[in-house]
Amino acid sequence: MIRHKMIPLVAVAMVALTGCNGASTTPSQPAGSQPATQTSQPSAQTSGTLTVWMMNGSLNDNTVVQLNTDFQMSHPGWKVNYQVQQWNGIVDKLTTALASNTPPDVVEMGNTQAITFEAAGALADLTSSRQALGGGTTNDSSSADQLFVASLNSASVYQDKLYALPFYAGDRVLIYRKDLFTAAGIDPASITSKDKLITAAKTLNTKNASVADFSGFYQAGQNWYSLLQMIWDRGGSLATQGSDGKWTANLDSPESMAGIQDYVDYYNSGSTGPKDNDEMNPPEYDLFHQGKVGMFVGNGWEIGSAIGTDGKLTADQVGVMAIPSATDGKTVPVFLGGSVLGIAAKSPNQAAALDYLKQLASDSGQQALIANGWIPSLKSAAAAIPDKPETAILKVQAAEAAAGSGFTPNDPRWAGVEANNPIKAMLTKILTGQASIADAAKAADDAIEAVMNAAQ
Amino acid sequence: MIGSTTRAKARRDAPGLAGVPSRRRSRLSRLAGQSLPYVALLPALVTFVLLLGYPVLLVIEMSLQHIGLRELISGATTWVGLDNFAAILADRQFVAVTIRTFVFMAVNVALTVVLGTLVALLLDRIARIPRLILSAAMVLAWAMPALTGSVVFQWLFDSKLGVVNWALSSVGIFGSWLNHSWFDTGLSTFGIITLLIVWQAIPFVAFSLYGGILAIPHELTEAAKVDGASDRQVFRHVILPGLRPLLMMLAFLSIIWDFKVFTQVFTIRQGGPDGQTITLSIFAYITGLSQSRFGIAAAVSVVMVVLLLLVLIPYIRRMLRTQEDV
Repeated sequence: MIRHKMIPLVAVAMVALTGCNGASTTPSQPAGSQPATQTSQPSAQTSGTLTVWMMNGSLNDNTVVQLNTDFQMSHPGWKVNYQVQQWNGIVDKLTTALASNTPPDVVEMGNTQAITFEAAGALADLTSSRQALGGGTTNDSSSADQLFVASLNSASVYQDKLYALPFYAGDRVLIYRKDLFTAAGIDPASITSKDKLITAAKTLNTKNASVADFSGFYQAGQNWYSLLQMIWDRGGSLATQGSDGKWTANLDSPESMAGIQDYVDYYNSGSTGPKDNDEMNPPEYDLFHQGKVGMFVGNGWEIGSAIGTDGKLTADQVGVMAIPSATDGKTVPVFLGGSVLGIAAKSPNQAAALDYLKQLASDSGQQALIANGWIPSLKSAAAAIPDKPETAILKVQAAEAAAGSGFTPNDPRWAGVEANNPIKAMLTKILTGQASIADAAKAADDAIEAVMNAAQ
Repeated sequence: MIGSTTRAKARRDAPGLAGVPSRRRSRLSRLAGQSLPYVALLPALVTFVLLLGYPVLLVIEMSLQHIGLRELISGATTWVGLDNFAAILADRQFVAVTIRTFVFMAVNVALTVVLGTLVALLLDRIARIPRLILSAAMVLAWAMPALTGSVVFQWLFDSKLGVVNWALSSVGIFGSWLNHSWFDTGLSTFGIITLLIVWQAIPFVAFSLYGGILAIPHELTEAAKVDGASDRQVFRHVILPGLRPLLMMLAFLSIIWDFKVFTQVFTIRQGGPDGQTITLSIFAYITGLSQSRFGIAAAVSVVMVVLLLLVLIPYIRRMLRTQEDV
């Protein structure tokens, strides 16, 4: 009786019910016509409630209180309804919310997710406010007159229109145990390449053989973000789009396969990570906190959880460095994650929502992001992160990002690939010996191309 | 289906409702007596139409339209006739997923009914205290929400921290299972999903059948035993015929549930590894919400309903016939 609650039929029907009122009454409009984007500014509106959806972990409580108090001070009559959303399942939630007739006004979304909503006309066009938001005069990511961090700008622009305000970026670093390094006689500065990292991992394994399930270098079987960085490091790529719009997946190119081989080598250095699961199952920072990990590649925000608050580890036992490349002396190009902020196209509070974004794009907004441990959205602010102990990690991250960064294919269909990620399946097949690298990579390429070239 | 049988029943009962000789009844009161069952059914019917009928109509409408995220947001859709259906029927993955769904359903229904029957027989045979313990254990399994159960099973079979690998290794005779990956192949993953679904489905079947067994007059089994029938023969020729209508009903319900089960399959691995545990309901979800192809997803849902009806037609006919016999 309990197992038939989630009937997809009803789920889809509910989307229809809540989502497309009027779909049946306006069938004569041609598909692909511009949605009802609010272009007229409802300046007459001087009071109301601004609903803001921010992601869990973006801003700390103090920043949020400051932000909302400031906004309500400068906008008497307005109230901010600030809601924190969870990353897990956010795309589905945004899909239904932005399609409804009462969407949240300001929405934060991951930089890899934004394209889906920009292409669908779910977000208001902010091109005319670009300069007011501090982004300079052009949408061209490679231009010097474009003032946002390039990868965030790419995520915010669709068909030469700005649909979102770049918010913040973050990338992965090598997190390691200083005390274990000292005990094993390893100098962190000596880890300048993949081979040296693997040697250090093996030394740590030997020195800590008494600790159950210890990994000198911990890597889950399905950490595909880490894999992407190794593929880029070898000059490979995930997928490229031809001039005809057709996507070709490149995991089976010699360069990409060299990156996959690196991943396997790292895993085989003695990682006890599960072959059939990713970095969050179990959470890698948790294992690190329990003392079972010497080094791992993690996000900046994972450091706090890795140290924890129960006193098992202290901050001075934990160090951070840039992730070494296969080439000695270089670092890998990093996967630049982050988020952008959009205004729902159907929001009736366009002017107030834009003011809210302006406040976040201001100098104080940028400094608040740095204080929260993020690379800020403006190139100038990102280049001028102050030299303080609190920002040491951010400095490493910003330096990595400046040396090179990458991104998932910027196409609305990419979300469909991640929904049933063939790259994770590929890694499991390789690590369990079910398939060779070449065969598994070819199979993953086919799966990616099937989704990326599907009719929309 | 439920509506029609209830109505048929209502029609048969209607003349008896008034319970007075017909010559003393006026035309009007007879009419009122006859329509009373229909009036009583009205609230249920209205709710049914509003909550189920309207969404179903919308799904059918969507299945004939091209709807992506853009169309969903702007509300401007185009009619494409049966294009969505043509697209899915030509999709090799859809065909593979359909076959997989049927096999998955058959295995789950068979295991549920067979094991449920065995547990019901066990309940009938054991003493009061063990029966209470067994019943309590089953009620707990039954009462566990599907989502919670799925997450717990994920943890049980976790390759690093799971208690199953630890237990198998501790026993010793199976060798080392430490770090064994249960979710690295589709078959293994399906095995765990089936274990979970059958575990939660057995209580309902077992309790129903236990009730059915209690309803079979004791004299019948006694008489058979006096005539020298073995336990197996008693089950086969006395108990089983008595349980047949109930078994049919339970198989019918299990087919519906296992055909469209979503929560457990999706929670365990979201259709992975490598899409090998994608069943039709997961397929509809991924196509609809993850790929924003709502028209196609609606078409998949419609095909699912049609397929389910096709499978169930023989059951429905046989059940109606059994009901008329009674």
